[in-house]
Amino acid sequence: MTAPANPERVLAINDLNVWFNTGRGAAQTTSHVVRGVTLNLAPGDRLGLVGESGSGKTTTILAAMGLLPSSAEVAGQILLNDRDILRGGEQTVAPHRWKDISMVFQGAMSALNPVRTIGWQIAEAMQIHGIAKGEDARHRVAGLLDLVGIRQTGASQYPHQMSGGMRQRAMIAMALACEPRVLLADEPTTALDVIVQRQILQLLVDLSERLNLALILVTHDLGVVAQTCQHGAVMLDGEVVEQGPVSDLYRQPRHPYTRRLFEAAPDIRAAATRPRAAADTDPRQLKADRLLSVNGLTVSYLRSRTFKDYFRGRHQDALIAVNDFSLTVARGEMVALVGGSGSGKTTALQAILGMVRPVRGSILLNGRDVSTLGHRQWRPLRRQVQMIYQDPYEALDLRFRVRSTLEEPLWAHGIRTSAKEREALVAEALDRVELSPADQYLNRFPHELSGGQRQRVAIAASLVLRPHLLLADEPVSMLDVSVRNGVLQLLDRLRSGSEMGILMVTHDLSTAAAYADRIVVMNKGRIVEQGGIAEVVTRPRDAYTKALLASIPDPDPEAGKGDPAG
Amino acid sequence: MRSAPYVWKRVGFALLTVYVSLTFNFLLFRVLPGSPVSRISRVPNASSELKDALIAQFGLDKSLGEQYLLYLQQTLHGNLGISYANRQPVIDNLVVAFSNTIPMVMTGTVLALVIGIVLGVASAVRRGGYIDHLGTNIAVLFYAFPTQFLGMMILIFFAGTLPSAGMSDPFAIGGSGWENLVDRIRHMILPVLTLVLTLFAENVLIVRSAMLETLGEDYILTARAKGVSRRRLIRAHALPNALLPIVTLVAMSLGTIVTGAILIEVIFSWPGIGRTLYMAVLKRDYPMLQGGFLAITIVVIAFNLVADLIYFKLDPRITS
Repeated sequence: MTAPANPERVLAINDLNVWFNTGRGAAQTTSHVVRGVTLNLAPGDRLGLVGESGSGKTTTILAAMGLLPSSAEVAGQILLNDRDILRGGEQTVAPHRWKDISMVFQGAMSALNPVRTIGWQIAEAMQIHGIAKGEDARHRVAGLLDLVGIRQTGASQYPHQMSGGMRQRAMIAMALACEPRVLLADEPTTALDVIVQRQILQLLVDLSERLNLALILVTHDLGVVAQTCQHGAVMLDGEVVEQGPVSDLYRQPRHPYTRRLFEAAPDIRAAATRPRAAADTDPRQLKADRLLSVNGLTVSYLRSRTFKDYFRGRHQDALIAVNDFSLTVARGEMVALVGGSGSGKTTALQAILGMVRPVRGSILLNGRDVSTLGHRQWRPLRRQVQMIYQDPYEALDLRFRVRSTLEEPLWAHGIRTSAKEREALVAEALDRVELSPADQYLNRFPHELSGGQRQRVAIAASLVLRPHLLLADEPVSMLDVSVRNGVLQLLDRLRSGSEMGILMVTHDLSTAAAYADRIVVMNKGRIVEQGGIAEVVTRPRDAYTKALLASIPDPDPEAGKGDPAG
Repeated sequence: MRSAPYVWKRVGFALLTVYVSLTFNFLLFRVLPGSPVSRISRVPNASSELKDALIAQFGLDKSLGEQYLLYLQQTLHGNLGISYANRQPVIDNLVVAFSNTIPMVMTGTVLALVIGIVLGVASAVRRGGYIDHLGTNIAVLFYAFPTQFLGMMILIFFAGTLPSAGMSDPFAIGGSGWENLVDRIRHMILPVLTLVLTLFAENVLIVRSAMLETLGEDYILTARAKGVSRRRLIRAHALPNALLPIVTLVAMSLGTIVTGAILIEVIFSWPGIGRTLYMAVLKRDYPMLQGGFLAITIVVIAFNLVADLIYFKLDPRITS
């Protein structure tokens, strides 16, 4: 690595503008996606680029790599060691790409080639840039894997043989293959569990300190920035509205948008101890109003039998997904089911919904055991239990107008009212999810709605049947931070003062703490802890809950100072 | 080794499928109305002694179970019966027919595949360019042609310039080996051309869409960011992934090509398996048909097995 000409500045983005052209000829429209962005990085600097989807943060760093599609027009300067690499187009960017500036992409599953080994993919980068070949490259790959904490055997593994966290580590190793001076990380931890997220962030901080690497971390999570970066830049509609040291952003935000972002980021301890309306209700009365009561539920998935099993007469091994699971939901109560990926929370939800048959245990819905019901017997009961899915983009049929989406459940359950009554039911459901006046939304297709509006439509499609129990599977994890609170508040309002209970699955303890009445923590198929919010958050008993709580990045940069992750 | 259980499982399934089709082939001709004897003995003055003698000769006096075992035993020894039409063993007829069909069909399929992949990749890489428009439109045009129509048109168009019937010139006797080879190749041109034109279109369209999908994947962006050249990007990153759906499709179509070549073989009087079956149907040559069906079933199963094994080699995600 040669010493940079200006030790104070390794990468500078000067007045960067990006326009996207869509359409052709007369129908061509130009959108200004990045507007005059200016950022400076010294070696070892860590800058957090925060913004919601569509704010232009990913476009900014793709421009720095010269990787924008041909429909993009770029103006401004990208200075690497005070030399503009953008001026000569592809010719001047190509030699620096990956060698001086490299990148870690968001989804490590899709960002790694599924039919090539990890070692092959890392070695390829070295080979292309003439750094190492053959035995030498193999040696370097081993060193890099060791640096990011992957076992030596990892080099001969394929991406699908690794866990999400390991894949992201491999991706980081690949980014470091040519000893770059700048690392751009695009939402590197978004798809990961909090505990794994913390490890990956820790690794990035560690590497940037050890290798004197300048790092731009693109994220929508203010907590992540506060705990890993020295500086932050907030983007809104393609502009950097505020940048500075993270503590300044947190303590004295100047721009109202920054303030709003911090307010939207839930502070788990404050949320846990805040007095709540639901606490007024007498717990004994809640017990009497029990809507859902699950006892000793065990669900297992069967492994398919192999030939050998047939010959030896061996039975299928069962993979136990949910083990001895018990919980209750009362009318008007919101219970949050928290756990990492693979903890069995979604399986539990599916069992309650009657989609997976449990091996043992009972599921009482309004006092009736539904765990043994067949498909036909379940049908009339489906009205009482409705589900909201994680991804509103996939949960809605793209060819259905809002009206058809909301009317379909009515048809399916044979609620044969007149057209006028149906209209009224649909309008009422839309009104309850705060999409009013209904006329404005009825004839729209999903692509004509924003993310938050789509999730509201999905909720309305459940509400139209007036269910007793609403199951919500990560209802806000796909939504932008500022929209999340709106949807969560909506769920909160829907259940309070009504008969409806909500069971919400989430991986995010802070969301759970802010809105639920009780928290149930799951790990490896078992419930490890459950109780009131304040109790679980402030006095966790189980080691897993403690680890989970410790991994949540605090938006206050000072909060984790005593702790190496911060 | 991850490969051993997978390969054995696939081979096992293939053998099982062959066995089931063997049994099916046996039962199918038992449930047909009338026995072979009643058909053969339908001659004037056929005595009942003759009938009984025939029944004994064919082993039809034995129980169904015994007949079944006998059938399996004989089939495994390669005895598929005697063709009614030319009094030759069915197996010999099949060997001749397949050895005539395979060079023609293989040449056509391989050419169609190569053209399909090259044109499909070129169309996808330069999406919206003139290669894409021209390639896609021509492919759709040929895709829409029925084989027999296309074959006839080619026959009419090239008749006189190139030989249009048979595999060799029946009057060219005593030519040197080289002359015979040239003659063979000249006879193959028209049927192969027809086959290529009917097959390549589908390949182009499938390769193009598989390639377009792959080029939009995130790991392609990663590879570009790493500085991978365009040529290498396609060869080392995109094609291995895009090939996965293509392999299955090609193998499935290979099986049907053997039967699908019936039309082409009939039009160009090519003495292959397709034409043999066609003639057997016309002449009600049951032993020939039975043997032909069995052979085709085995060929289709074999190609599917090959596809499974290639797929396994290409995709590390398959483990069982």
